[in-house]
Amino acid sequence: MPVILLEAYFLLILIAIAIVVIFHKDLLAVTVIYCAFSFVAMVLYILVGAADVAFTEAVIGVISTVYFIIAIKSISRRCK
Amino acid sequence: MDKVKVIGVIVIIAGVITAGFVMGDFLPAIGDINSAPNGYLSVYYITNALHDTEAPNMVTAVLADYRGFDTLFETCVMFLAGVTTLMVLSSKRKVVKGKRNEHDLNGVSFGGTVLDTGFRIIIPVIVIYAFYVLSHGEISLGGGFQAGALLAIAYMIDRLIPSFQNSLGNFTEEAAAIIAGLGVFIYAFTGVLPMFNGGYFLEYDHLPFAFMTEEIVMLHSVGIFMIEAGVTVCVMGTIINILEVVLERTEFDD
Repeated sequence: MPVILLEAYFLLILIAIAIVVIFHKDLLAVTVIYCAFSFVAMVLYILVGAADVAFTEAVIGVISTVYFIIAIKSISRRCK
Repeated sequence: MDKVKVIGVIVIIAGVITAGFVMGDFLPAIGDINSAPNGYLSVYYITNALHDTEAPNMVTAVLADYRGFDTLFETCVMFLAGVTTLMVLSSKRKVVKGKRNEHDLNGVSFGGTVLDTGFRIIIPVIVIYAFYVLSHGEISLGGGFQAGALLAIAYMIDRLIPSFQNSLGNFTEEAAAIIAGLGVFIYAFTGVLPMFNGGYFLEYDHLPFAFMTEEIVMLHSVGIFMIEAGVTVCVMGTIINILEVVLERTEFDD
């Protein structure tokens, strides 16, 4: 039962991070916060028991962050 | 615009919560014995995977052996994603090709002494860990996809830190796409090899390496390792391909 509570807690964190990502104006900050999204999703996968998927999520979180940062460098950092 | 965002977020959250309550009655719990996938298929995998494939990690056994045909086309999808990115994004090049190397080295504003030293220490570890993940994939966590992504991370760090001067080499995006295609070829060729020996496509029992091993089951290990190497090469090539294509279009002026 405590595992399910922990999952609910991490799911709420996921929703909060998603809302911040939508509404924040600074795209670089959004990218860093999206790292936290990736990390929390990884912890969730480990809790569910899918360690392989968690490993993939950790690696892909790094790669997508690098892609986002390169993309931000070619556009304006602030969004309207 | 902002009001639309707020309304959209509220609608999505309300929809997800409602769907969660509604679907919670229909969806089975995790590990429920009476649910359909746990009926006979999971039991078969759990009891026979180690005996059939010699792979202690059951995820690898299912992905690379029982469901090898699906994984082949997932690898094809990766390759197609890279090629599509190349086709769409490389139509408008901002940087002249001859000047590109020098331009990238001067322009990227990552760096600093601490960052350089840290990444100098960490890159060899990442590469060694990638090969460990590849070769150990059927025993513990990981496999082809993760190993390829780790190798690509090592290349990315090397590419983005300016003082490294591309010590791992500098791929053009076409070369990276060719490498990704080579990975798919390795996978498909592993599938075709048993057909010369009287087997079906991807039937590892009939791989023509029987002189190397005593037991016929060990051929499954060889086959799984070969297709994981193919997936590794394909994933690495695709990620490097997308990175190079995006870097080609990006101007670093600050």
